[in-house]
Amino acid sequence: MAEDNKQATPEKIHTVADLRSMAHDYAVPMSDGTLEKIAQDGLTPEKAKAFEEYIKTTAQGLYPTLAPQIKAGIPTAYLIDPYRQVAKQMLGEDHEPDFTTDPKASAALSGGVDPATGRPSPMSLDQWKGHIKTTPGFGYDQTPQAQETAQSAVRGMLAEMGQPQEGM
Amino acid sequence: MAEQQSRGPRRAAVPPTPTTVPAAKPKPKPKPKPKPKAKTNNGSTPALIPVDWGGGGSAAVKWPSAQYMISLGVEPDVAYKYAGKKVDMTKYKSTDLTPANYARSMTEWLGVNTENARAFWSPWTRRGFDYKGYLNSDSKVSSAYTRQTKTFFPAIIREGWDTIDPTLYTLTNRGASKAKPTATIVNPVTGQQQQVQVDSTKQATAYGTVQNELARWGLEDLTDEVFNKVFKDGISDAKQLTNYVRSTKQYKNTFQGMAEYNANPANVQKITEQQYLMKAQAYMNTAQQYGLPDSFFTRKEIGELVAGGVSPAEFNRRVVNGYLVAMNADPATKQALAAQGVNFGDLLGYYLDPKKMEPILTSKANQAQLQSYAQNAGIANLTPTMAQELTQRAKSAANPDGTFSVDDERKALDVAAQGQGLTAVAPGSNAQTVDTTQLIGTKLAGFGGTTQVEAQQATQKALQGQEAPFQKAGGYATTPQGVTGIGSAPQ
Repeated sequence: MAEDNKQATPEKIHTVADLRSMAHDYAVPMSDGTLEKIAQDGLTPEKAKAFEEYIKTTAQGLYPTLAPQIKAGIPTAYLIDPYRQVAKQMLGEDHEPDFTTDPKASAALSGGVDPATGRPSPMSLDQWKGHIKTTPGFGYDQTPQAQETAQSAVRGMLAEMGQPQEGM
Repeated sequence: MAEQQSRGPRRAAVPPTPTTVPAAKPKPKPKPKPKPKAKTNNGSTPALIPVDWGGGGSAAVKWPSAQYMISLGVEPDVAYKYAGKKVDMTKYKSTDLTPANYARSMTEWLGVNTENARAFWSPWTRRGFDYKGYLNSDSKVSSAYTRQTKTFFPAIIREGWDTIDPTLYTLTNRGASKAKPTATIVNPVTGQQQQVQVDSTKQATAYGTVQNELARWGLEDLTDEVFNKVFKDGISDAKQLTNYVRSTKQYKNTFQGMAEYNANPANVQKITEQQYLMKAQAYMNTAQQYGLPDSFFTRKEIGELVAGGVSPAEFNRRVVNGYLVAMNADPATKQALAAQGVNFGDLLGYYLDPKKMEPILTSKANQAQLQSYAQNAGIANLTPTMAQELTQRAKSAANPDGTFSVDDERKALDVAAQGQGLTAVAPGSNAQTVDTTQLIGTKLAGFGGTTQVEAQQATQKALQGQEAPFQKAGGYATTPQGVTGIGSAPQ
């Protein structure tokens, strides 16, 4: 996650790396080849500005529920970071959710419902946690923590129903 | 990672090559054992050696996952290099590499300090294996792990590091034996006792854990709902979960009669679900022992017995009394009833509860009669299922909701008998055929899941497909509009 002072802005774009950084900030996947072609004849301030507009527009299309914030200039990566961090906390630091192409991850951004309009909206973080826990593809239910939770919950329930507790 | 690495001494290497294997010796010399007293991480660490369990058996051993090996202190590069790979053990002589060698290597390392031991056993502890008692002192740790490692390792290698469930094993002085590969439950639907395979694959996931536990109570259908309650809604309170389950339809079906029993003020001692299942099992044992028909003794009957406070002993006494009466019935009567499809269990049921048994016996007799009629008419392949459907759909005093009269059904069987020639064709012929269900379906709408019009059309095509007149099945009157003898399609 780029920090504020490192955020790529048109004024700071001078190299392919800067272009890549901006695409990354807005979570728009772009190949190095394309970025190099854009930078081929030099990166003028006008070109950098046009690139930023293009990236923002694309990001709004990719993440429609975040479009107003992206339009206002908040990079996508910042907006999705809380979801990313929650996923990492639950699934391990190595887990990197792909909010662009993986439907089970992108559900974080469109799996909620805006009560005012009834339209899809980003999930609340609680919803996102529940989604991670109950979507098999994330593998959460294979974690020892999940198994312990399941075992404790179900055995507690069966104890309520009179099942003798197994002693080790 | 850094934390994991600091837990214990690093392994020098994880070399699955013959060069790392102890040389062939009658008794390979173990490496000097580090004393378990040390809580430092600088003890010498024996290499992880894949193992062939001496004298044949499996040819390959699969290394555990990289993450797991790293958690044991293996260098990450080595762990990733060998993770998940199978090592062909056939090139090793069993005298070179024995379970003892491998177990010794591991236990030497485990015995170095408590941290190593804890790291090794913690994944299993989370799955219910209790080793806490061994953590009181380092010496206990050492001896306990030496013993446990030796006894469990064959099972670990056989079942896989990540899937083995240690709670399914009993540790004895002679090794680890799988104590609970199956569980006995009473199926509350049929009331019958059955063995449930404890699926260790399912058990390896939280969902599987929920599913396996609920299955033992006949509540497997609630798996999704309970799983979502726990993981989506975050409910962990046992009482809350229990209340939820008790409110479901599945639960009420499974534990019929229990609420009525507990609501009766005369019953001071309330029963739990566990006690209910035990009662149900006892009833069913008696019912099975004396051959009562399944249709006589269903979940509903179990519910009535429970609600009525009938103890298993009282139920047993009633059945034994009925059994004695049935046993003493006139042999000729028994023989005559057998011809009607009524067996001893049915007879016993009749003596126990004539009112309940009467429709069952009538149905059985009707079914037997229909089967006999079909056989006499020339239908050799009227299955019990087909006969049962005909019986169930026949209108009678006992079954006023029946769809067809018995006469209609007999006529349909006559038609099907006439059309038996259409159920097979000469070898090499490409003519269409129909089956007995379709033939009956031409007369009885919806029989066997058929559509009457389609059954009629299929039969007509089969008739037209007959190549020569002598091949036609006799008995059908045909017109240009179709086969009229079986009830022509509407014009």
